[in-house]
Amino acid sequence: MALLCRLPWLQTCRWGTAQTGRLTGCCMTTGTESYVDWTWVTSGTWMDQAHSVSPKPGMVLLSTPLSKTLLERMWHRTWPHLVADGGATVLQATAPELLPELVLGDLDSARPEVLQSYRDRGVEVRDLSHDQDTTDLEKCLNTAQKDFACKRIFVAGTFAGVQGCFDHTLGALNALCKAEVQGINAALLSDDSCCILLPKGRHCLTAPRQSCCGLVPLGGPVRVTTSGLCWDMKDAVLEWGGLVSTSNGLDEAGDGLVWVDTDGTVLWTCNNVP
Amino acid sequence: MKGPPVNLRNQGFIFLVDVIFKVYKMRTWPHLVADGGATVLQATAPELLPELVLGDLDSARPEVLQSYRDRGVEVRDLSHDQDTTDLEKCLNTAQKDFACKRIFVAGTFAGVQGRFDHTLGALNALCKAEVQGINAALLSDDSCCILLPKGRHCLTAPRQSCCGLVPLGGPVRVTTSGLCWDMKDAVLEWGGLVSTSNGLDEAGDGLVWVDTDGTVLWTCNNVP
Repeated sequence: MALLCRLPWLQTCRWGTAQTGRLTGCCMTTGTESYVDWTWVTSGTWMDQAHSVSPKPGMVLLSTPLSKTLLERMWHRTWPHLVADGGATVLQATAPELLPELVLGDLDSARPEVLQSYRDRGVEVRDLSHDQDTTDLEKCLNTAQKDFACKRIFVAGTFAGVQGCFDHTLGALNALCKAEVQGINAALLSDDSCCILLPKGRHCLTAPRQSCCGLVPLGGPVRVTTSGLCWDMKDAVLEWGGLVSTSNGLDEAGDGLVWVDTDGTVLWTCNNVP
Repeated sequence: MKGPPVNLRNQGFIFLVDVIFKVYKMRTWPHLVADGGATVLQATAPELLPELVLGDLDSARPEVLQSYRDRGVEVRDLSHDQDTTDLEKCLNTAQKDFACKRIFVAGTFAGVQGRFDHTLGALNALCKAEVQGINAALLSDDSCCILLPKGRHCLTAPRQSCCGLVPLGGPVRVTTSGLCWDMKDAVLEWGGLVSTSNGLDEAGDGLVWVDTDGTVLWTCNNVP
């Protein structure tokens, strides 16, 4: 049975006529053509839809603030759970009963007693400080793929506006780029914001009603066509210094799905409407 | 922040909406307020009168706009132009009407109500401004972003701040000095090498020099 059919609020699939599809890795195939399904990012977490994805997406917990509500909701819908260094301190403080599969990184942020308390409870704490060429987030994404064969990963935590460290935000976006090259579909998800890197191809997304959305290239210009947005684009060239899509939103008269066709890597972002 | 003496005359100042901003004396002129920035300015520093309030005027409260008009401030309705953001309208106006070459864009630009699209829009406004010959910087209480076009640049940052250099667009080749981890002819590109969690070389003179063959974004945070 198709993944999309399990979402109860979903009326019809706008592209292709069939509601059946075959899950191939992260790609769905309808009667028409294949696309990457990203609806698992927001519908199962912000929108709390009854949602089952098989296999479950993995989760990487950052060392930045995240509400207990969202943390727990994501936790129970994901496996494995990897904690990036200082994320151990956050997890301990927010939901001490939750045990991750792995804590890893250069381990220069998490408090030593916190790390020890996870070791004492049988959690592997992996010291990767010998590798100074990758960030803790990149280490987590690599490990999720190599050790757990993850293809879809939530990166959970506030990724913008944390103590003014905008360099960390940019670093997180670059981690998505590196993951994409390795065939991982990763999404940044915080309580109020979401970023997904869409590689070349066709993509299906959701966003809460009345959320504000954007589509912006990270590298060179990209040509996109969309449907399901307030201001859709047809063969529009998005580029820095030229046209980018910001302050966009869901077409309220639509079915809640956004479709993006892109000839290159483009960043999708939307916010969560409380 | 220490650094070489800078002539701040004709250094414009734009108030973004959603400013959580400690007002302090900045030697800037003119002062342009982007739409909802009027509400923030009124609430934060009502005695300060800008040179101009402008935008599509769909954010600022009408009574706030009127109170500025009553005090002789021009409030310019540019809602007919739906192709540019309020920030872009301000940067264009600062250049066309006031011949500004250097502009502070003041206000929190990341992490405001989850509006990462606004953050990206602000960065794109910097790109558009650069093409018009404007050197603009985003400056909030805790963070700073400057777009460095092709060429040689001199920057400062607070000691112990976190710094980054990242391309906006295609790959760029950079050489730096004054950072903890300097780069020599390094290619910065999305999906490859970017510079984050960098910092000032504490043994240096506090200046960072960046030579770049293309547009690159500099960011640093403010250490309280």
